[in-house]
Parts: sequence; structure tokens; C-alpha cells
Amino acid sequence: MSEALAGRSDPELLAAHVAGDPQAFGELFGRHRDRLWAVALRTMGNPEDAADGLQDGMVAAFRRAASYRGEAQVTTWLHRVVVNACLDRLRAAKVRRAEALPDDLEEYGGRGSLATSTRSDAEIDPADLSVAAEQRRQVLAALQQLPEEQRAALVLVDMEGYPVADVARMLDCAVGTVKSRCSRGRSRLAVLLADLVPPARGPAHPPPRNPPPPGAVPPSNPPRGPPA
Amino acid sequence: MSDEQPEATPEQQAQVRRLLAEARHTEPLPPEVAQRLDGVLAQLVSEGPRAIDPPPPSRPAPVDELGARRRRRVTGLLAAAAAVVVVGVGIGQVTDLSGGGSDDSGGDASSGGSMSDYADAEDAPGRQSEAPEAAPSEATSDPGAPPSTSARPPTVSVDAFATDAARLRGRAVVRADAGTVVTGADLSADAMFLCDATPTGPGLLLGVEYEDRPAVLAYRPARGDTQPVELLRCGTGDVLRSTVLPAP
Repeated sequence: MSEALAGRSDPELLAAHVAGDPQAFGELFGRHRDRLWAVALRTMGNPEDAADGLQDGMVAAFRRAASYRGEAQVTTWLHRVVVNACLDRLRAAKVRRAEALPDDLEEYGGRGSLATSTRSDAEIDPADLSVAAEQRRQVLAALQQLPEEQRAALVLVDMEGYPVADVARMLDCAVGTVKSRCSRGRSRLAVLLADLVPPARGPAHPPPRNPPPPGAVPPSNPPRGPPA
Repeated sequence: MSDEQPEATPEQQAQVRRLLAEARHTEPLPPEVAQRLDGVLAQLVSEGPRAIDPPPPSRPAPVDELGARRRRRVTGLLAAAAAVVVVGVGIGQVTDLSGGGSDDSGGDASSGGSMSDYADAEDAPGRQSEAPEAAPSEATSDPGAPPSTSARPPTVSVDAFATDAARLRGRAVVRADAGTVVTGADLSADAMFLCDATPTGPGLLLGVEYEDRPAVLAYRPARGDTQPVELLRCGTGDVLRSTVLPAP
């Protein structure tokens, strides 16, 4: 990519692409593809399907670039196109398969993404690394059990950290819908990940047990004898 | 997924959020995927300006007509789905259909296997054979999710294009004029029929599958004793195939 392209903003690149610049879209997509890949991977659940979804999204974004009206950031628009492409693939797969994903999940649990870490492996105790990997495997497996809309919302909000308002634009739904999907998804995950999420406690959910018995009656002094 | 799921406490929600954040993928795009995407991108660029869809039109007049058609189609699909349940239950009680119904399709041998799935259903908008497959997915969808229907578009075979075009002519009911641009939603109730905005030109349109991809079959206005038929690529309107049929 030329330095001239590298210095241009996302909207400028998209406009240049629509105007016929053959290099502009490649520069634009290259800026965001790592994060789009992360979203596609977590939404689809395995690298093969994620690559297909990301490719569908890239082709759609390339072709539909003229439909971008500047109402959101270009990166939000790109995420929207890619997430929709992934969801379309998941829905199509759901129709084709009576049962989905569990075998893939076990296989996926051993794949490279589990090694994701901000620290090098050499700095981490192997036991901690193993525990973290197992925990991540459980989280990803549970995530794949959610309905795809809930999963997409959680991937974008809780994993990628996008503001709810941006995610609402990406998923083409109301802010309240995103919040609802996230809340329901987290509640479901809390059940699925019971080993990792402590059970509910606090005043809203008092423990189901009898109140403590009253203390023993103090003996009288001196002891009373039988009635005379 | 049940909506009766007990709501997690704020503490639990925070814990789940922390777990999700820790499971975030932070590695870059794998080289093999990057290489694949670069190849696809190069192919798109090689198509030139035609690879980019024109800006979405305001779609003045046709919108109302197509929107009304969609509404009618949804109603029709609901009725068809109900009919499928009734017919399915009835058939299930009468006979075992494990042998399939291919002998009953009245098949045109030249139409190929891809057409046989739809031969019986040409007059039934619901495409009955597919309906049971869609029910489970709809049952687990969010209320706001797009409709997941079973009304798959018919398949046009590569080897019998003219024959398929002839037998599907009666199903082309979406009317288009010179400036019409349609999408998959205008052509099919199938949520998986993903057809980007396509300029079609005049005629009657039908959404189809061609070589496992969505496409638009356009029956042009008859000229004298003949009627041209073109198969258009979704998103560009490029003509993939064409033939001439006797005028209806």
C-alpha cells in the first residue's frame, strides 16, 4: 500500500474505493481485519467457518461500499457487514443440520486461540497456563451454546469492548435489544459456567435455610428445686 | 433457549463479563486466511468498477409494490406452513414415506435432479418438502430475528437451463421495469437467499439458485413469438445465461 493511502482516513478510503481506486479497499480492510477476524472467530466458533464468514463479509463490504452513508464509523459499518455475514452462515448451517456444534467445540477447545495471552508463556507458571486454557475452553464452549444473536452481542460488547450503542448499529437493532441479549446471555452463561461463576448471594437472594435457633435459656441461680 | 432463565445477579454478570473478556481472541489474522482474503480481494479488484454495487436507489414506486408483496407473502407462508402441518400429520398417519416421492414428480428427465425437489411444489408457495426443517430453528430464535423460512428458491441446473427456465416461467411474478433494483428479500421469503441489490431490467423475475449461488431469472417482455430469458448474477446484474422461449 502506498504511503498516500496509509495517511488517509477510513471514510476517505471508502470514498476512494467507490470512486474507483483499486488499492483503497485493501488498505481499509487491512486496518481492521485482525479485529474483524477476532469477532468472526468468536461468533462462528471455529477458524474454518470464521474464515468463510470473514470472506463473505469482505466481499459484501467491497460490493456494497456505496451504501455507506456516514451515519456510523466505517469500522462500525465493517463490523456490521461481517457480523451479519457470520450470522447468515450460522442460520444457514442451522437449517442444514439438525444438531449443531458440540463436536466442533471439543475439537476447537484444543486450537491455537487458547494460547492467547498478554504475557509470554515463559513468564507464566505452566499450571496457571493450563488452568487458564481450560477456563477459556469452558467459556468458549458455553458461548457456543447461546443463540447466535446473544452470542454476537456478547462477543462485541463483553469480549471486544464496543459501546452498546455501537453494537446496536452493528447488529441493526435497538440499544435495549443489545442490553437484553447481553443480560440473557450472561445469565445463561452463569448457569453453564457454574464451576467458574459463584452462585448468587446477597440480600436479593437470601440463602434457603432456617433462621438460627435462639440461644439456650440461661440456668437460674440457685437452681430451683421441686415445689415444696 | 428458554426465556425463563433466571437472571444472574450483578455479581454473576460481572464475573461472566470478566471471563468473556479473558477469552477474547487477540492474535492476528492467520497467514493462510490473510492470503486467501488477498486472493479474493484481487479477484474483486480485477472486476473493475462493476464489482461495486451502485448506491442503493430511493426505489420510489416499486418499493410499495414489493413491500406489499412481502407482506402478502408472509401471510401466505403462514397459511402454507399451517397446511404443511396438517398435510404432514395426515400423511404420517396414512403411510410410510421412507421411499421418497421421486416417482411421483412427473419428472422431466432433462431437468436434472436439482429440479426434482421442486417439481411437485411449483404451485405451492410454501414448498412443502422443506417446511419441517425450518421449525426447530425458528423455535430457538429471538423474536427480533429475521424470519427463517423454508421457502428455498428453485434450482436452475447448468445442463438444462432452457428446460428449467421454461418450467419455472409460471412462478416468476415479481414485475420489474427498466430501473428496478431488487434484493433477495424482494425475490424470496427464504432468509438465506442472499442476493445483493441487482439491477434487473424489465420483465418478470424469479429468485433461483444456480451453481449453489443465488441468481435472478428474468423473463423479458415477449417479442413477437419469442420471449428472451436471462439469468442474472446477484449484485451486478451480469447475464450468466440466456435463452429464448416461445412467447407465452
